Amino acid sequence: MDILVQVVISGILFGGIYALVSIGLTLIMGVMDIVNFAHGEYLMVALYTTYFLNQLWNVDPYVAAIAVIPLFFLFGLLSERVLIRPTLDKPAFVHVFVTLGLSIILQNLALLMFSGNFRSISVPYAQYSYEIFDILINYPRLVIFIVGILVAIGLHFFLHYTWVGKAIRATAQNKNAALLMGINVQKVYAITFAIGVSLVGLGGSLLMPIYSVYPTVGFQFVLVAFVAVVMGGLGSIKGAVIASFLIGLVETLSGFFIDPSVKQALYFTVFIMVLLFRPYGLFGKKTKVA
Amino acid sequence: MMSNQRLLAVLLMAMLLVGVVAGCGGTQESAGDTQGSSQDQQVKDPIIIGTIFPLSGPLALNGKDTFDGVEIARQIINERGGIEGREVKFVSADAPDPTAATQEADRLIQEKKVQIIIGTQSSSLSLAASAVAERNKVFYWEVEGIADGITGRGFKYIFRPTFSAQMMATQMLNFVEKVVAPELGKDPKDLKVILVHEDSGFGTSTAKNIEAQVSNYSFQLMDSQSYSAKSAELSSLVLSLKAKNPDVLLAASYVNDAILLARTSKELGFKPPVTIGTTAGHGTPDFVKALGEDAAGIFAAGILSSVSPAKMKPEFKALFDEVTKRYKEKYNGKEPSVNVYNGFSGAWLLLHDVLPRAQNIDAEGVREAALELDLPEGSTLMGYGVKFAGPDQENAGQNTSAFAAVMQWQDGKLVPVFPDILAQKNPVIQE
Repeated sequence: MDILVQVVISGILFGGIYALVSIGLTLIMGVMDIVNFAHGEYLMVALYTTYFLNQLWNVDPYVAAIAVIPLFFLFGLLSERVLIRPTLDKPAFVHVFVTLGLSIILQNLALLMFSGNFRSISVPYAQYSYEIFDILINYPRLVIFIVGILVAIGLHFFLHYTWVGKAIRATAQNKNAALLMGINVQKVYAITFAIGVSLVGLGGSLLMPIYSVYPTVGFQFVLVAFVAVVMGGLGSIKGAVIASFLIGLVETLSGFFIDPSVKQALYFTVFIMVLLFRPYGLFGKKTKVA
Repeated sequence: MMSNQRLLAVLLMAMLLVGVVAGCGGTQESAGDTQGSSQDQQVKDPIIIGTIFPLSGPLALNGKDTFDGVEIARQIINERGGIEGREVKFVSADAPDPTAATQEADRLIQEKKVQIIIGTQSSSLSLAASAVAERNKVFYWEVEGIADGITGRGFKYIFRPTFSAQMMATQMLNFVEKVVAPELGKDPKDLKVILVHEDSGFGTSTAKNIEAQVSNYSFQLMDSQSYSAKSAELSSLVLSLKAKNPDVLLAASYVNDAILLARTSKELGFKPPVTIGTTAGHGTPDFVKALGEDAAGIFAAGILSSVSPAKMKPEFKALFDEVTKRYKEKYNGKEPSVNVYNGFSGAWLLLHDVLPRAQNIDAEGVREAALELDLPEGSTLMGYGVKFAGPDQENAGQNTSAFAAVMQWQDGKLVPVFPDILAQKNPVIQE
């Protein structure tokens, strides 16, 4: 019985990692109609940033997060201005090429600059676990879980109760109508993209105590983040978070009770089932951003 | 005006081409010491041996070291009067990738007419180059690549003095039975051994080798589980391992998943008394950097991490010192890596033990001499004995007396602990 509880808790905690990574992705997708294929590479850059802050100046990764968020907000603004804005009116496949191109460039730059080595930091609390009735709860994973939920809630309030947030939602619902109401759509896009990127930056800092960083690390997380975003309903933050926990649970439970090699097959089956019965995803509507 | 420009362009192109051709050649004939040869009345023909190593490109770091070792063997042999008075000369080729390895093997055989080739450091290069040698009936001596396929193709002319991946699996199992079981105070029959492996080529083939051989031992595999090295989630694997509570965990992992496996195990309070990985994952510098003190006690089987002369025969001790001295002289005091000694060991065996026994120094003669060789443990610098599998045996050309090493992380260093002849310290195993 204990072990079952442990497996479920591990699964939920693990879902938190996917949630944190997929929130930024679903925001950008929902508002801008852009599939950001470079999402994983932003994560990779954030991991390297956190890694080097730690190695060079001994900065704790959680402290590094405070620097990484504004840094990545600027990084997001810059890449939106240089890469996304010029292609906004172009067909969807142009966005695919632009973001995919960026992803390949960043990967190869990282390979060139940092080589293919697996780098990781060791902080004393990294493998520390709280023990509650024989159930082990790992501290960095708990932090990710809590921050992930807080970010989702915070973003919800931001989108519903601030002027900028309302402008973002209005733009997501109907770009032209928003434009006619005097909303600076270009600015909204820039801010949305920057928020999305800074959230994945935050994710990178929080993942560093657990994982190693290498040039193609993004793939390890982003494939599942894409599944979570589509399963939750494009643009639905609540959907992405819930889908992330669902995938985390399916992965851990199937890995434990069946075999670690079948877990991917299993969550993709769940994914297809969800889409069969709810083609817009769990919480998706035809309009986006809830 | 136009024609002038065109002429210039043609000239430039021609110059470029010449440059490229000259740059690509990459052949150096290392003429040994020629002093005194003019006084000699009868100068015997030199023995020409082709060498193929990755001297540029991503594999060059280890490739150069191995080649340096091979070259030092040649120098010492020549200084001691060559092979029956004949000087040994190398025609050395650079093969950064399998295509180049194929081409260079072809060139050495067709143009330079070599009958003997020493190679290749990396398995992918070796598989490519040795196929060309076999086709042309040229003797091929692989000093470092460990892929099973190299000697698993039933070739007649390929010989590998060093161990194969299959023998790495053997050594893991030997270590469990001979060292781990007694240290844990258990009858091997009662030992709970679980194998986990990543599900791409490396992990799967290692797992197959282990599963195929385990019936020769008195313990059994309690379970064998695969996982994806790309997965970010290993908690489920760790929890299911924890539930089975093994004494020994065998792990065929790469680096990233080895790190995640070890970290997740610690998070979830899973600590088997003995973990044995391989030098592809648990034995890498990245692993110990990531795990720090938590790496202590973990074992890795595979390529020896460092060479110690302590248990060598006097003649090899002297050679060990000589190789170290020459390498340091060449590279301003830099300590030689294992690859240097391994390259030397392989080349020395060929030049010192095989060639002098050959009736004729051609592919056929050298091949027969190699097959006749039967040397006990301790007859090479790397410690192993020599007995090659014959053409009608399994793994033809494989040195069946070679063996992999088992190392353990102790005080941040990967220390050889098994087998005895390679061991520099005793393994530390605590229940």
